[in-house]
Amino acid sequence: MRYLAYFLTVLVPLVMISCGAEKEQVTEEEVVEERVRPAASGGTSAAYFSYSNTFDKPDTLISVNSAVARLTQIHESYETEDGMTGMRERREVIIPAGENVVFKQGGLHVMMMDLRKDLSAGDSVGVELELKLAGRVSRLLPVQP
Amino acid sequence: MKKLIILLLPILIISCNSGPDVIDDLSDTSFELLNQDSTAVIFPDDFEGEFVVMGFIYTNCPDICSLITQNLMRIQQDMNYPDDVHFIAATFDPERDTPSILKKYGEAFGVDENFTFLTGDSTEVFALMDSSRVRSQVSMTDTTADGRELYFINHSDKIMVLDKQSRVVFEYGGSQPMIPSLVKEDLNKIR
Repeated sequence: MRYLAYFLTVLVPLVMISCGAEKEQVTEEEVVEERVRPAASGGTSAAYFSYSNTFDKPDTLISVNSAVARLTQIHESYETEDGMTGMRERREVIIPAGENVVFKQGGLHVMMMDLRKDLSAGDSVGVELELKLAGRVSRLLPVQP
Repeated sequence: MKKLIILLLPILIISCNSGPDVIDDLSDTSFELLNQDSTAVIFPDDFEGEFVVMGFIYTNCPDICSLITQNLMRIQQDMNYPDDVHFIAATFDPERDTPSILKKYGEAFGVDENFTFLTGDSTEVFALMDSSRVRSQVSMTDTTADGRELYFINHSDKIMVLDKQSRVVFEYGGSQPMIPSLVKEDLNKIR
C-alpha cells in the first residue's frame, strides 16, 4: 500500500512532466495594422483599420465604400454552431460614445469584392465610411500583405 | 520496491519515447491534383520522404484564410526555410481557385519556392478534403452590380502536419496566432 501511495504521488507526476503532458500555452501580442490586403483584379481583398467615435452619444457605421471594388460590405468572421469558420455580413455596427471599433483579422473586416484593379504592396486605397452621426469619413489605407 | 521499479520503468520509457499518435494515414490514398503552375501533382505520393505542413483555404476569403496562409509562411520562415519540410495550401473552392488564381494569390503573399498551392478537378479536390476531414459548405451568396454571383464558404479552420510516411500526426486550428510556435515545436520533436 505504501508503494502504491509512492507511485501515485511521485512517479505519476514524474511521468506526466517527462512526457510533456502539460503544454505551455504560447500567446502573442495582438497587433492591428491599418491596411488593405494585396489581391489581383477580379479577386477579393479586406480592409483593416480602427475608428473612434468622438461624439458623446453612440454612432452607427452603416456602410463602407471604395472605388477599387465593385462590391464592398462589412463582414465579420465567426465560428458556426457545427465548428466551422464562416463570414457573415453586418448591416451596421454601433459604436458606443467615446469608443473605438477595430476592424482586424479574424473579426470585423471590410470585404472588397470583385476588385477593379490589382492591389499591390505599396499602393494606397481610399475607403469611405458612412456613419449616422459623423457622416462620411474618408480614410487612405496602405496596401500591405 | 525494486520489483515495482522494474515493472514501471519499461512503461515509463515506452510512454516517453513513442512518437505522436497517427491521426489519419494518407499513405494508401492518392489524389491527382494541379499546382499553381498547372503541373500535375500526385498527393501525397509526390511528397513522401518529406514532412508536410498543410493548410486549407479559398482565395475569396481574405480574412481567416489569409491568416492560415500567413501562419504557413511564418512557420516556414521561423524554421529558416527547411529543405525537409514542404508547405502546402490546398483550396476547397476548385471552381474559382484555378492554378493561375492561386499563383496570383501566392505572389500577393510573396510565398517561397518550397510552397505549393493545390487545386484540381472538383471530384479529386473534395475526395482529398474528405480524407483530410476538412469540411466546406457554401453559406452566403451575393450579386455584383454587373450581375456576377459571388458566394462564400463556411469551412474547417485547419493546419495539419504529415510525417515522412504521409501520416497525419498533428492537427491545429489553422488561423490561431500561436500555431506557428506549436507547429515548430512539434515538428522539431519528430524530425
